[in-house]
Amino acid sequence: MEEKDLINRILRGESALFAAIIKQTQGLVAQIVFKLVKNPEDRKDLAQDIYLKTYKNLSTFQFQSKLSTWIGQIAYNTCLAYLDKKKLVLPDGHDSVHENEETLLEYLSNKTLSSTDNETEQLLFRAELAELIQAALDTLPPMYRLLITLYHYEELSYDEMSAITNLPVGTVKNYLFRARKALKNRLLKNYSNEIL
Amino acid sequence: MNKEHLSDPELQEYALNGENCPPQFNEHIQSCNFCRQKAELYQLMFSSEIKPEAPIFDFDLTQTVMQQLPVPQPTALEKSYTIYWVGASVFLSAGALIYLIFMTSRGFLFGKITPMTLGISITTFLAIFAVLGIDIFQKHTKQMKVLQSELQQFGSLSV
Repeated sequence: MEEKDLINRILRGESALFAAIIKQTQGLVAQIVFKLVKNPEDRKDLAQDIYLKTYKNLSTFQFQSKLSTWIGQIAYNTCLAYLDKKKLVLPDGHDSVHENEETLLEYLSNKTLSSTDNETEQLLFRAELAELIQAALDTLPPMYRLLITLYHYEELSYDEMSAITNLPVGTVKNYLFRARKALKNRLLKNYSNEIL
Repeated sequence: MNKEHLSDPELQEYALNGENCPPQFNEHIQSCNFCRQKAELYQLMFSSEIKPEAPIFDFDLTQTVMQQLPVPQPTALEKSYTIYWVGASVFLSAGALIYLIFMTSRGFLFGKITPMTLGISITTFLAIFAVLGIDIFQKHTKQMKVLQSELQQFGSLSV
C-alpha cells in the first residue's frame, strides 16, 4: 500500500493500520533510541512516546520527506528532550591518537592479510573485530554513535540525516568525519588492550 | 611522492569514496604504508561483513502502542451528516407509511376530512416524528460518550 493511502486511511479512522507503520519504522527508531539513551526502561517509555506522538500528529505530515525520516525526526527530538530533562549534555568527543598507532596498524594489517588464507580464521577475526567495533562505538558520544549508525548501518543519505537531526548537511558531514576518526582511535585503543 | 601524510578527512574520503578521489591521494597511498594501513582500517571498520547487529526492542512495541491509541471518534462533519441522514430516513419512512395508509383506506378513514386539514395533520405528525428521532439520536450519542470516558478511566486505573 502507498504511504499516502495508508496515512489517509488511518486518518479516516482505520487506526489498526498504524501497526504497519510501527513495523516498517521500528528498526530506525530502535537505532536512534539505543544510540542516544542507555537506560533500558527509559528506552521502552521513549519508544512508546515516539509512536503515540506520531499517531497524534499524523495529520500534520506534509509528505515533504519519507514517512520514516519524519518519524526519525520525532524519535530524535523526543530523545533529545529526554536528554535535556535528565541534564545529560552531549559530550564533545576528544580523542587522542594512540601512541603505538603505527605498530597497531601494522599488526592489524598483517592479521587481515594472514587470515585471508584460512576461512575459519578470517571469520573469527571478523567476529572479534565486530565486537571490538561495537564496544568502541558504545564509548563514543551519543551524537557520534547516532551519525555513524544512520550513515553506515541504516544507509541514510546526508539529507535524511540532516532532516532527522535538524543540523545543516555540512555540519552532519563534519561530525561524521570526527565520529569516524574517534571510532578508529577507540578501536585501536581497545585492540591494543586485547593484544598486549 | 608527497612526503606529507594524508589528513584524516582525506584518508576517509579515499577509503569510503575511492573512485571519486583526487589522483594524488591514490599516488600517495600506493607509496605510503602508514596511510595505506589507515585507509584499510577505515574500509574494514565500515565493511558490510563487520556490521554490528541492529538493536531490537525486547518487548512487543507494536502491541504496546496499539493498545494505547485513542478509540477513533467520528469527526464533527461526520456527526452532523449522520444527524441529517437519520432525520431524513425517519421523515421518509413515516411519510411512506402514512401515504400507504391514506391510499388504501382514504374512503373509509378520511371521507369527511378536507384536504387542507389532512395536509396540516400529516405535516405536523412528520415534523414531530423527525424532531423526536433527532432527539433520540443526540441522547444516544451523549450516553455513548459518557460510557466511553468511563471505560477509558477504568482502563487507565487498571494500568
